[in-house]
Amino acid sequence: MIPTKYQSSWATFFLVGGIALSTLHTLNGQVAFAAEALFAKVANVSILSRPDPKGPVLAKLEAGAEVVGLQKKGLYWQVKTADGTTGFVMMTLLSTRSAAVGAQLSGAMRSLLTQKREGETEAGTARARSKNAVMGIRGLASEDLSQVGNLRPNTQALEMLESWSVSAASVQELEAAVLAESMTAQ
Amino acid sequence: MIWIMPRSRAGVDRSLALVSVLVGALVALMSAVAGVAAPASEGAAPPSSSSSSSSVDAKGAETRALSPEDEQQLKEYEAELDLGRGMAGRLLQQFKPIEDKELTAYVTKVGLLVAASSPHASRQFVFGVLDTDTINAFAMPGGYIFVTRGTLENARSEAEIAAILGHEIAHVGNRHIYNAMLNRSRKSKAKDAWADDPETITARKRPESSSSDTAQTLARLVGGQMNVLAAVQTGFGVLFEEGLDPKLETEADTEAVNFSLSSGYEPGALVSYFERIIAKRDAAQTKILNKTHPPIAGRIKSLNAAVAKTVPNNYRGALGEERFQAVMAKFKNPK
Repeated sequence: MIPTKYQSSWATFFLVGGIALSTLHTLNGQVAFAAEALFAKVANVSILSRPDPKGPVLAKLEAGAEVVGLQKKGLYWQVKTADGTTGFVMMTLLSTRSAAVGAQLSGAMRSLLTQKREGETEAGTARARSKNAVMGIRGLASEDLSQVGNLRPNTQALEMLESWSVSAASVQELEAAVLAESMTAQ
Repeated sequence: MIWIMPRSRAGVDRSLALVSVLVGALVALMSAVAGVAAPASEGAAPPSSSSSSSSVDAKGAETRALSPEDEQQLKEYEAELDLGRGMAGRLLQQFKPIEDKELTAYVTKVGLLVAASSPHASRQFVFGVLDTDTINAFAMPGGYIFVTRGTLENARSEAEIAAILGHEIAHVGNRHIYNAMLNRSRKSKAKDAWADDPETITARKRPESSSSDTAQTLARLVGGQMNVLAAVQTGFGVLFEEGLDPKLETEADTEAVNFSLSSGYEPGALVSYFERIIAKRDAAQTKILNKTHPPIAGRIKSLNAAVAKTVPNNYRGALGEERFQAVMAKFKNPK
């Protein structure tokens, strides 16, 4: 039991503490949800003074430059840079992920895919002995695919497609061309 | 003019570590004082680098251990890959791939660009073009996505192909087909029928137990002997007979619009494509598409609603018509 003469002080302590905690909690929530790290997809991304492609350009972002997204306005992000510049950037020019995020998982998945492809030759030998697997089904029309599951896999074609990779640079080149066309279209 | 340069990776790591420490201290303070744990939030900083172990790979580069979440995703990806490869190999037996490296590379680049603008950017994808007049595209677990020659020949722009690939990427990323396969195998109790078949695989590791139904089923299926042949037959049943739940098709269409928008392509491109092929509804070219997908007219209506909701009227994305026409012209008339 708390003596009566101290009850008011304890109540004040819990009230102030509660308010402080809820404020911290809300602040934490605001930091987590309101501000979002965004990254320029390509070089020369314009930060505009208003959400309009014809708006004056305040600054330019290099590819990969990080800004903080404050809020969305239509197809624009209102952003703030590290030096405090605030303006608007077309959302298609920003990514919510830095190139490094997910790179480890992506690399591990790529290695796994390579392992499967390289292990296919050995597995293919066992499949060739399978009585259930057949090369083709006579009379199977192209639109009648219910029996495709019984076919022997075309591992040669599969491995060919798996090995035909494209470079990240060529995808980035295409991305730059697409984004340039989309900006011109506005 | 101010130029904002990307920060160095080391700088970013130090910042993340500092934020992690501060957030951790705040959470610890709140937990200690209030006696409750703060709820996890999406934007919270990732675990600091000090908590993850590192090693040096064969090339001498420092590599960090995967997080437990990534490890789990990798295990599930391996199970998907086994099934997806089994399906893709058999589909390539029925429909031969077009062995045109330039055409396939073009489709791959468009697909990877769309995937990079989606939440599924970490996944691996393998793209191919099937040599058939049929108008369709197929997505298989593990990220195998095939588009048919008939689909390409009926398209008019790169944006249309991007939207079609985006639809398939959504199917893969959201594990629509994989989950449908699990559901179908559960219903038919196919597991019992999978025993003693010559084409079996043994999962390397049993996935960690998880609260999700899919993960639990996955753990049960790959924890023992799993027959690939029966599994791929189940998968083809989903792809060519039953189709997916129409809600999942609508979801994939809507996500394709978002992916197109994020990557800079015209978000209405899928509508344009459907409006062109709807005239072929009764033709043999669209027989499978109509059998396994909701009616195209309904899809156009849903897509128009999704575009109207997401995209301002005056927005126009890239079409990439010239690039697409140039690639197709070269494919049709190789020198």
